[in-house]
Amino acid sequence: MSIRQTVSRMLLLSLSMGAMLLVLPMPAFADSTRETPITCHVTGYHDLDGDRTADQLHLACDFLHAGSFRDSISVIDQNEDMIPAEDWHEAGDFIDDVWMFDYGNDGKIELLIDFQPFEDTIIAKLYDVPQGGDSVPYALHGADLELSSNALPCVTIVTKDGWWTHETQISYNLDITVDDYVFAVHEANKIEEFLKTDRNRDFLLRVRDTNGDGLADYDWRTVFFQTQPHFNFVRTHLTVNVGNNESPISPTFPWPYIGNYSFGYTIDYPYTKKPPPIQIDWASGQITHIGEFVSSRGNDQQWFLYSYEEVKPGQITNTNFESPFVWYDLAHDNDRRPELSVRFQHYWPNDPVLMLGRFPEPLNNIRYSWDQDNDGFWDYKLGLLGTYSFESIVTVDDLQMRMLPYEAVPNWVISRPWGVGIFVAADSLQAVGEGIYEWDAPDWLAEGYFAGRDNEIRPPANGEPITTANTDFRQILPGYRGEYQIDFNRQAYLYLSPVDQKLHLVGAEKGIWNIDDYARMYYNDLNQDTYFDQWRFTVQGYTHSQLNVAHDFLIYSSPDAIMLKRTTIPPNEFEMQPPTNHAEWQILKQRVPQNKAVLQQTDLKAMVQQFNGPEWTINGAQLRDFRLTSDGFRFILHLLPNFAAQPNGFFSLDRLDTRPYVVTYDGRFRVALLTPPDISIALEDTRLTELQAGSLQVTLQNHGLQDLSTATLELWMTPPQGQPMLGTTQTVALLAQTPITTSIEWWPPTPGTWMLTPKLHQPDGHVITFASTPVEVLPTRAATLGVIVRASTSPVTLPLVVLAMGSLAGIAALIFWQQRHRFFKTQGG
Amino acid sequence: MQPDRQSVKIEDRANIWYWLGPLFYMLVVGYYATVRYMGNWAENDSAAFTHWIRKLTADGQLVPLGGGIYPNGYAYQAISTYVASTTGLSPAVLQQLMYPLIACMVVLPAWIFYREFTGSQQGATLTTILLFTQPEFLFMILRSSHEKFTRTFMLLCLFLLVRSFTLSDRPQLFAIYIGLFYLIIYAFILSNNMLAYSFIFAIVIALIFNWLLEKRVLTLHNAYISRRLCYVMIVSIGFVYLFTFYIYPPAQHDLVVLKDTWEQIKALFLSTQNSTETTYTNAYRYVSFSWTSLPIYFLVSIANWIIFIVSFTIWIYQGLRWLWRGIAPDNQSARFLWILYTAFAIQGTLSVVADASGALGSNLQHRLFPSFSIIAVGMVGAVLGRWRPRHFEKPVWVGISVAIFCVSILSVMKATNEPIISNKWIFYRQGEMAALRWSDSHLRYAEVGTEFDERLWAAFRTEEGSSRNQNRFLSYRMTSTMRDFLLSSVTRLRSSRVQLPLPVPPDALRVYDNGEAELYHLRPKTPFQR
Repeated sequence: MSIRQTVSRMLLLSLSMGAMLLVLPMPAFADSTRETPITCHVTGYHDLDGDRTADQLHLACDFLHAGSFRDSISVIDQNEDMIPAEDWHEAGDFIDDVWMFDYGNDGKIELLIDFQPFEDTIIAKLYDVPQGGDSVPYALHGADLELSSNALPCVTIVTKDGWWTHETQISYNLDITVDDYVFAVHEANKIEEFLKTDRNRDFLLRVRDTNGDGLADYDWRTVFFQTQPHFNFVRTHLTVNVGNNESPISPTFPWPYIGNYSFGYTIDYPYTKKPPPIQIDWASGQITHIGEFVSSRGNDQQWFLYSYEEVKPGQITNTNFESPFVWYDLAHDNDRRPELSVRFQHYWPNDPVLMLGRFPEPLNNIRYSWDQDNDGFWDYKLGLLGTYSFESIVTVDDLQMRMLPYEAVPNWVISRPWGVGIFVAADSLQAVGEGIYEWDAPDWLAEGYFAGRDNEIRPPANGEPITTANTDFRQILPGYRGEYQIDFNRQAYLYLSPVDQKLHLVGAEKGIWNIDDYARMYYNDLNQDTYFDQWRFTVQGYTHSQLNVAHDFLIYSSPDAIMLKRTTIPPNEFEMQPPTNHAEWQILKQRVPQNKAVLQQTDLKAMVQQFNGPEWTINGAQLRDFRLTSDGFRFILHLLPNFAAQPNGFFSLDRLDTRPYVVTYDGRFRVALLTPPDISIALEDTRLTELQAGSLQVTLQNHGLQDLSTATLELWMTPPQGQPMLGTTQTVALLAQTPITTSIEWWPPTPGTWMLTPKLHQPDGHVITFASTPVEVLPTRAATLGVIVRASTSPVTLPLVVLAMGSLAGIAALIFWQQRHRFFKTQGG
Repeated sequence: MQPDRQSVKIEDRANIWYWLGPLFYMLVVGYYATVRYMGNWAENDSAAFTHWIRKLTADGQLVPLGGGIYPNGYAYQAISTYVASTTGLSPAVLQQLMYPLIACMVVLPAWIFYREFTGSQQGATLTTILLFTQPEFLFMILRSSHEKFTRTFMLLCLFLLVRSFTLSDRPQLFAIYIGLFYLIIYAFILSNNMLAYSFIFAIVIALIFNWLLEKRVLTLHNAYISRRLCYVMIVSIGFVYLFTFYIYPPAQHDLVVLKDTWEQIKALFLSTQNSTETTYTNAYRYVSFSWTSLPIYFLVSIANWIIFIVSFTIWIYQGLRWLWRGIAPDNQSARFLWILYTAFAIQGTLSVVADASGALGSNLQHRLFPSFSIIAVGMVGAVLGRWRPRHFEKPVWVGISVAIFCVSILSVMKATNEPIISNKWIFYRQGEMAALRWSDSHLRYAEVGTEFDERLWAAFRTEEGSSRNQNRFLSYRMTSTMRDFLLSSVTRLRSSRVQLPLPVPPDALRVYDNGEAELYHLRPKTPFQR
């Protein structure tokens, strides 16, 4: 630096120091609820190139609101237009100046923003501290900035408006390029190893305010990979606000888009002012996040798309995965708290990210959650699986996506039948998040049974943990009530049960309400009329009480009493579909009991007593094995020694003692002494063929009165000469006096007369061995030499084959013999 | 040390029948291999190479876009593409009908290589016949894979190497042989870099062994050989490196997928590559499944055992004489042959030790045993060429000729997987192919069970290539995703032979039947099954 330059700087500094100690607040539009604007004051202007004009503005700042001005910002004029002024806003600009942010004022620059005008736009190049460094590598030659060759902008922002802020308005017409590991998309941490500053863009972001109202309307982000990851990762993130209610940015730094670390990538709660999306960790000098300009979640009138298939401008893309995820203001209260969220997980036929592309149909996995009482917490959710496709095209500027439009989603979902139906109610907790996650249709179900790959529902056996998103329907988190029907195949309707006054899913086969992990309520639809008719309340795994609704009777039982009430109750108080709009939501709100106490009801006896009708109670009695019969129901009655019953009961207890009895109702009650299972078996005469699957028809009948609900049938096969071997096993249910015929597949390994011996293993360990039955197994066609030769060649070529074989062997032998002979001759042998 | 030119005794009087005889023999063997199944044969590696040839032909690039790349080299596909393009033959015809006949091309390099060791044309002829009665070697060159070229290049390399030892006093000729050697070894690498690398590793072992011999046996003057081998090793490794990391990047595949260093070392030096070939880790299982009985297996493999035992005996005998009593083999070629035998034997032993699969595992049988056979046969042939029984000379030679007659039949039966004795059937019928074609045109994205092994899907891949409707033809498996099964009369025979049950349940729906093959679809059991 020359003496002249030094003198000029000293002069400028001395001029400025006294007069310009002004503490300047940030612009008037800054009133964030989370982030307050930082404060700065001018500490001096400098002439860097000795031209007696100010080239550098130096500000002392407090980046982290620590209460002291220990940080600094240095603005380098690049266009000879810096005029020293008390208000530094008049001196520095965001058009062609360079802004350097020095956290801790230690001379090491944590962030450098180089503003450059380009045609009708302005470009901002953001440099943070490179890997392994402690400062942005730069040098000043006079007032000219020089960045070292390895300094690459990790974020480049272009404003299409030609301005960043205009009066109180912030530009939301931005193109942002990211070339670094920055948390710029959902779950970006998963791809950290693929992101580096290498002159190849890693993310491309486009933010637009399409209607010029000063609020961002959509935020489109694309991930680019130089090396393809070995796992699927969402390529396109698109969020569209359809209600013109996106929150504006509340600036904290002079340039509105940058700020301290605040919300990360998404904001999941309602808010009116948004902290700056570009978030900086000043300690490390890293731009850590570029959060959403348009909120995907913390609002009530928007949709977003996370697609593995990349959306490209100018072409129609079949988007997949979360396509779309939509949010609605059903209450019309515009409170930014959605009352309906629909997660639409969609895959196209043979979608490469689903089942290795081997599922030939589309797949929809829906989560339809709504807040019925508008308290800000999710109340109900539907989980649905289907195989629907659609042709509708959604257009956002020049982006075209084959997916359902925002407006159509709720009605589209609710008006269709679905293969699998799941219903979850947050009965005793306040559910938050993107919806109710519990009991989403699990992948093993979607890709197994529902995809037609499994004959029966087969939850993961070992190794794979059962989680919220991967349930086996045998447990649910405390506070939730879940109901399901695997073979749903109908539209989703809800009904209000007159018994427990709760909303249930029409068609649900079973359900469970985990009240508090200590107590649970189990639901069952025994008669398969689509309405629950059995409630079983358990405490610590033991049945506390049970209620059955069957054939004009309510049958209540507890460990020491049985109560029967003859009454006719309707299967439901009303039926209606989940709400798709404000009107339906209002109707349902009016019809569902709002009394929380009713929803917490677990007293089954009280549920019985709310109905009128003749009632009969037997105290000192127990009921078990309740089941429906073709024309009524039956159960086993166990009278305790001190039993007592009201007179004029539904059946007589005279002459009954403490032995177990079977009570059957088929229009009238009958009581009979319980007899143990008495099984007979008959094997249909059949002929099988060796090594080929054959079907053995086995008829079993339980002549006793006690059900044998689970027994294991084994078929032991004894070959003509040999030891018996276990051929097959099957689990059977042998209900009293009900014959069943089961088909058993068997591949006989050898021909001859086999002796088949059935064995039945009862749950108590008792084994019944039945008489053996001979079964004739015919031999298969033997692979004899002639058969194989005929199969592997033709009569025409067979002579050639033999001739060739003979020839080659003859040639080999002849050569050997002849060559040996010649060798000896040559050797003089 | 000066090359021992006099030690190589070659008759001046050329007789084309010396090499034409083995050539004609192999031509008939190739003809037999083709006509045995009327061209309707397929096996896994040949099918894979047919696929790769198609890809290369379609894309016109050595590294076709979108996969379909043989990672270990491109020479075979490139040559085949050229032949197919110039002749108009389809890859399937080329693979199934032409290449078994072209296997006779290996005869000439084998013959000239053995002529160097035996010192006579007659001896070379005998040794060549012995080599082509080795069933493992025969199997390798008969099938339609890179092997027939790879083995040709390997034999040429050995010939040029051995011959170059004798030419150091004739610089021009020596330079030509050196140049040819490096040209051929480069072709060898292009054909299969892993086999080439294992060959170079054998050279390295030979170099080390030769160096040790130089140190231990003072009478030996093999410094020249050591120097030559050293140059060969350095230049060849350089070639492999260039090829693997610059010329043909897919060649890195095997090294990349083998994360474990030990696996990489095995792959590099012992040729235990991650190949398309079926690997049986249990030797007994392989034998018991593949052949009707263990005695049958030993019978058809008898040529292997004879050569193995005899060559090993000779090696021991010569080694003891040389190292113990100081009596070196007669000439430089014989000494080099002994060293090479040692090197390949060490490599084979290391392979067996490295792979717990055991001595009969595929590594030894399918990879290194053919290489070892080349040297072992040379060892036996060199001695046999000079051996003369003292008594009953004529009956002995009649017996030997009869034995060769029988052994050649057994070896060809083994090399062609004769279904009378083999359980590993490689033939198929056109009725089965018709059923496969129908299935492929009427199913989409389906997994179709075709057989107990790759017999039919290899056939489909060879004749038709990839599925047009993204179907996957697989071996039978009772997985939940396989809902279609092909069943044919041949499959039923095979079921009877190997005593494996047919997988089709009794209630399956028969949706296609052409009299020879049927397609079954499992009956839907749930609302979601089709």
